[in-house]
This record gives sequence, structure tokens and C-alpha cells, in this order.
Amino acid sequence: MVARRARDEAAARHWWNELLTDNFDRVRGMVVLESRGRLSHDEQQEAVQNALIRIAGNMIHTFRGTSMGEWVESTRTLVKYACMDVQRRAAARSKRERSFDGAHDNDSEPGRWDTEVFAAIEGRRREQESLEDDVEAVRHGQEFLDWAVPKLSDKRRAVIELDRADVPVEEIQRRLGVSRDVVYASRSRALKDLSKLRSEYYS
Amino acid sequence: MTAIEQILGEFIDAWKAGHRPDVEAYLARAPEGERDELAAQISRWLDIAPTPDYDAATRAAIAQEPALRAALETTDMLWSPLSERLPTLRERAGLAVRDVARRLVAIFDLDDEARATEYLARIEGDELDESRLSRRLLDALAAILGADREVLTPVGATMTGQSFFRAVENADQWLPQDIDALSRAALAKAPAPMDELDRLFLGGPDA
Repeated sequence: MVARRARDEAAARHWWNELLTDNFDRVRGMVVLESRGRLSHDEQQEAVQNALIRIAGNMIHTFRGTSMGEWVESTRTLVKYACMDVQRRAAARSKRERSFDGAHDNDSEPGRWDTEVFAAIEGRRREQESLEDDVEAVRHGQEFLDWAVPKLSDKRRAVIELDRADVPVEEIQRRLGVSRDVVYASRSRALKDLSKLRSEYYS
Repeated sequence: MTAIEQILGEFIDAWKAGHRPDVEAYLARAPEGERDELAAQISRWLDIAPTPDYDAATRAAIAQEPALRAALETTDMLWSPLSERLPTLRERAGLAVRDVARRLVAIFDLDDEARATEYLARIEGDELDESRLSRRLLDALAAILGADREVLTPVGATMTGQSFFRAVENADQWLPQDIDALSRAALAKAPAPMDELDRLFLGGPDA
């Protein structure tokens, strides 16, 4: 049984490593976009790392989703929390550094900074738990696409569906009989429409 | 065609070709007033983008990314029991068990540092059932050790219901023994009520 469990663990670890490697750029992109203007480059790196750890932890501990859409939706939420945590930690660090510069503070209150960080971690865990309880919120990611994509105009839907199927742009041009400019314009407008539909869907 | 449509189009082509386009570089190409719009569209793309079919060289390059390597190293830790993870994190933070205990009782406004030290030593000595630790305690340890909260989640939490309830070998022998032990426990004198420190270490996840 121990050997079988070790084999299962090894297989699971391998699979998770592959999944994280495959999605590294997606997570990094999400972090960059989520934290624009709020986190430095180094802090963004920290947030990427934290998000990846959370994604792995989430897969091990709680994730019950099955589709890629649900996985991405859950990843986006974890990225958001990772960025928030890094920002909070950076703020706590800078407060502590400012305090160390001051003449009056010493380490006579060992729990003071810990208490602030503890409160932030507690708060974040509660938020995350309440979100995890709402399995529907995650499931909506896939349901949204199922609902929204058919609402796009024919050309925009065709382009975005071929994009999602990983068809190269030259092949999309050939299949639809359009120029590259038309593909680019259609895909941009389709994504814009999806943003609007998303607001409508979640409201 | 607008500048945004052109830049977004090139980003998506590069993504699908597995060329790993840099989000910031593409955003920088857009006129300043249009960057938010481009960011929103790239963000939407990342929600629906297929995972590129990376070649071996690209996968090797991704595997060398410092953030990914550090994350995988930490993820490896998630598989070991807390009795192994806690001392590693504590030493990484440059703290003795007593230091952690002192800061822990300060967070919860308690005054029994010696007993907190003892409890922590029992975790590290694998003498305490990880599943009885409260989430509040783990949050506080994460704050003290500067660690990510997920790294302190007990291994027991990774087991699924099926793992718990699946019968393994010799089930016919251990089941009567377990029932016997439970019967004796039911007849034993009730333990002393727990105080706040006990609840943190023994009261279970919700304590």
C-alpha cells in the first residue's frame, strides 16, 4: 500500500508540475494585469510564486472543478488573492522599516507586527473560504462562456472559436476567406463583447 | 484597424505559436490612453486562451523560471508532514522554538509561553495529531514564520473521503479493536476543559 501510495503521489506531483509549467505564462500574465501600477517587478514575481503555490495547494486540498474554464476561473481568483497578500506584506514591511528608522520603537512588543500580518492572513482565509464554499461561483466560468459565445456575431464567434481551438491565424484566414486585418479586428471586438456580456451575466 | 486590434492580434498569434509574449512589452506598445483597454482585452484572452503546444526548448526555459522553481520547491514541501515542514520554516526564519512560542502567545494575548513551547515541540516531534490544529493557529504560525498559509496546511487535509473510508488489508481485525477502544473511551472520565491555548493546538480546525 505504501508503494502504491508513493506511486500515486509521484504521478500526482508529476501531473501538477506539468500543469503549473503549462500555465506559468497565463498565471504571470494574470498577475501583471491584476497588479499593474500597484506592485513592483520583484513584488510581481513574488505574487506569481505565491499564486502558483496556491494553485498547487488548491488542487491538493480543495479544488473540485473539472473543466478548463472552471480551473481558469479558480486560478484568476487565486491570482487576485496572491496580489492582495503581496501588497499587504509589502505595506507591512515598509511600515516596519519606517518604524525601525524611528527612535521610539524597539522589540518590546514582539507580537505587534505579527498581529497585523495574522489579521491579514485570517481575513484573506475567511474571504477565500467563503468563496470556495460557493462552488457555483467557480462553475459560472464555464457556464458564462457557454452562454456568451453563441451571442457573438457570426464572424466574431467563428474567429474566437478557432482561436480557442488553437488554429493558427493563416489557417483562420484561409477557412473564413478573410484578411489578417479582419481576423485581428474580429477577435478584438469579440473579446470586447465578451467583457460586456460578462458584466451583464454577473450583474 | 485600430492600434489596439493590431497589438492584441499579434499578442494572440504569438501566444498560440508558443512564443511566450510578454504582457508588459505589448502593453508598452499601446498609446498610453489605450493601455487599460488593451489590458482588459488581454485579460479576457487569458481566460479563454488554449494552453500553447510548447516545444521542448520552450518548456525547458519555462522550467527554469525562478518563480516557478521556487513554487515547485515549496509545493514539494506540501507532501511532507507538518512535523518536517515546521522546523524547516522555523529555521528558515531564523527562530528558535521558544521565539515562535513567545510571538504566538503575544498574538493571542496569552501568557503561557512555556506550554506553547511544549506544544510546538510536540508538533515538531510528531507527537501531536496535525488534524487537531486550529486554522487560527496555522494562520498565526504563517504570520510569524513569514510563510504562505498554504504551506502550513496539514497533510491530513489532502486526503479525500474515499481515502478515509476505503477498507485496507486486515480490516476485519482492526475494526473490532477500534470499536473496543471507542467503547472504553466512551466510559472513561471526561478530560479537563480546554483553555484557549489547548483549543488552538487540540481543538480542531474550527477552534
